[in-house]
Amino acid sequence: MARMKFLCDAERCIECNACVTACKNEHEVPWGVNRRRVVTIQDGKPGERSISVACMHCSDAPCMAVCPVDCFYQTDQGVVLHSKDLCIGCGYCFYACPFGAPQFPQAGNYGSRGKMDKCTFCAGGPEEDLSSAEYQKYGGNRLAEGKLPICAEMCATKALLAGDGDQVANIFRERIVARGFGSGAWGWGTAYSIKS
Amino acid sequence: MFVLTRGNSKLFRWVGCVYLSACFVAACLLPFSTRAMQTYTAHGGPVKGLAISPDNSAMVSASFDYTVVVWSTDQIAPRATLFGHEAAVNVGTFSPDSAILATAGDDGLILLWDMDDIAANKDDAEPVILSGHKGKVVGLSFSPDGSQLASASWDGSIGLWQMRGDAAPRLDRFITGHQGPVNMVQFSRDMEHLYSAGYDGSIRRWLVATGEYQRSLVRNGWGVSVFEIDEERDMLAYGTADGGMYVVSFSDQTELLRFGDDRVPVLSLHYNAADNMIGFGTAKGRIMLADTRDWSIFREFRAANGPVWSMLVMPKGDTLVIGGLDDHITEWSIFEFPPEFLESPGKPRRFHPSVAMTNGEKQFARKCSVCHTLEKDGKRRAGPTLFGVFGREAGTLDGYPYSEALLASRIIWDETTISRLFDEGPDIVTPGTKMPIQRMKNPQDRRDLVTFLKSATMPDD
Repeated sequence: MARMKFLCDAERCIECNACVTACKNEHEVPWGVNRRRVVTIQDGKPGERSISVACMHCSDAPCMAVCPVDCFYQTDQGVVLHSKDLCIGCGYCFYACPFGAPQFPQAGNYGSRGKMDKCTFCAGGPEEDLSSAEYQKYGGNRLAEGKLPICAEMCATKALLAGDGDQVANIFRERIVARGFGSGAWGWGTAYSIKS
Repeated sequence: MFVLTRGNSKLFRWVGCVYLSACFVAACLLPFSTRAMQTYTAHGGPVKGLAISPDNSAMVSASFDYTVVVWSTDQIAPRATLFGHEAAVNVGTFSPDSAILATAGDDGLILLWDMDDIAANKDDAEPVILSGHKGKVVGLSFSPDGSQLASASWDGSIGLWQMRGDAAPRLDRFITGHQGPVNMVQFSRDMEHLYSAGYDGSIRRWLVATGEYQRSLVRNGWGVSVFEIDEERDMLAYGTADGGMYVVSFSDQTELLRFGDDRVPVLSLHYNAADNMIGFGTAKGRIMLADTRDWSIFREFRAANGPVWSMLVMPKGDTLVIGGLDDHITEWSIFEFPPEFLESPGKPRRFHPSVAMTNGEKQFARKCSVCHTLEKDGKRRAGPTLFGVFGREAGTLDGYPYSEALLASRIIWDETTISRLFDEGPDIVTPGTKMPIQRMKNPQDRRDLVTFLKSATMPDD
């Protein structure tokens, strides 16, 4: 079974936000929620980099460790998903995540506490695969259709890679050999406990 | 829109020392401990916010259990538990004259408590309620003269509230501009400006008089969780979601101290010009303390098995108090510090069970136990004890501050109604309840939970 991973090659991201737009469109993500965003670090200074970031589906996910109601689970492909039925909107995952992935819609149907929303690696949620209930709560389930996440598919420069972690690592390794090591795969080591 | 109301006496009441002496579990030394660490329990849920009054006479803790506890500071001991919030409480702060305690929580409400009422154990003391935020409120700050209060909310806005004179506190305006949740706010010393930090990675400066955005002091990319500005010392300190702990010159942003490169979110910050210490706490329980006179780091250790959401140095300056996922607050000696404390104790929490159990018991432990006990003595939790719940009418357990919705409910809890509660959700079965909206859609899990609850909550006689 493949272990699904994201990789953002910070040398290639041009901050076009196509990944953000594709994600919002694919899953009809509500206003105020960005499951994926482009973060610019060292903005306006030497070393400025842009990074497309969402839930990295960490191996030892810190969100799972702090959740007081056990709403997270990890699929056999390593994708970290959560149940919006169980989530009580405490926000603990928001504080625990080093990638700023958990999102809390503003003033929604769930009162001031809300229900957390985040990237699903286009893998839906605990509802029946490809059901309308799954789409309504979590968006599309491209993995169930045999496809990979739409954000990576739409990335024009292929800065954002998604898929089997071994294949993703091999692609990145080939790039490193060709160009030399740069700012590289931002967050890979944090998410997957492997030196980037 | 906002509403300014006085509290409902049924819901907004506080209980003084009598109750506390019953529920307070005396400070306990862990078996392997010296005096380096002590824990104090008065809450029944994770502790999110801590603050000391400017006159150093009181400490406040805000908890997931919907309560606020006011502690004495000479010997850490609970003085009063304040009921009034309708959800987890995130933050508490005192006015500059220490006369008012402001608290805020997941209910989007800000409650103002009169400290004289708390000191006098007044039974009819009620908080003033400031409402209008549409999301949880996680940050509060009084202006230096106490005439204004600012609030930071996950609805993306900053609330500015007028507290002048004898007039009732009122909303001045909501300031918007941050992209996403706002985590923290602070007034400038001359009260002309307001600073705020948020998920969008910026620390912004606003004009108080008009709410106009002026500029960003910091554009970090990743969220800024905490910050502190000391204009007199020309210092800006902030901690970020990507693990950065920074101290820079407020006037020209020259770096004074930079720490933390392991990308573990920084969640708490202590700064008090008087004690010459600055401290940061992280999502993995790490504490870093530095001397503000030369910015040297003099203490770094792991203080908790989990996040350090709040931290402060006690008035005597020799101990540090932290709040996190545990029900207790922990006091650490700063200077008497044996090396064995480099790794903190890892006692399992009730909602993180480490032993094998039946599915029903596991469902309770992982999904319910953070808010409910099964015991007759009904230790403090966000929700009432479930002891003897089968056959009980909803909203009838003595001593628990139910919502009006539950008080008016005629539901009798049994296998069918409890299963329905988690099938359809509390918002459908008991609309208006304080209980978070939570559903358990797996029928087998529901059956197992109900079976477990029926046996575990049965009175012995």
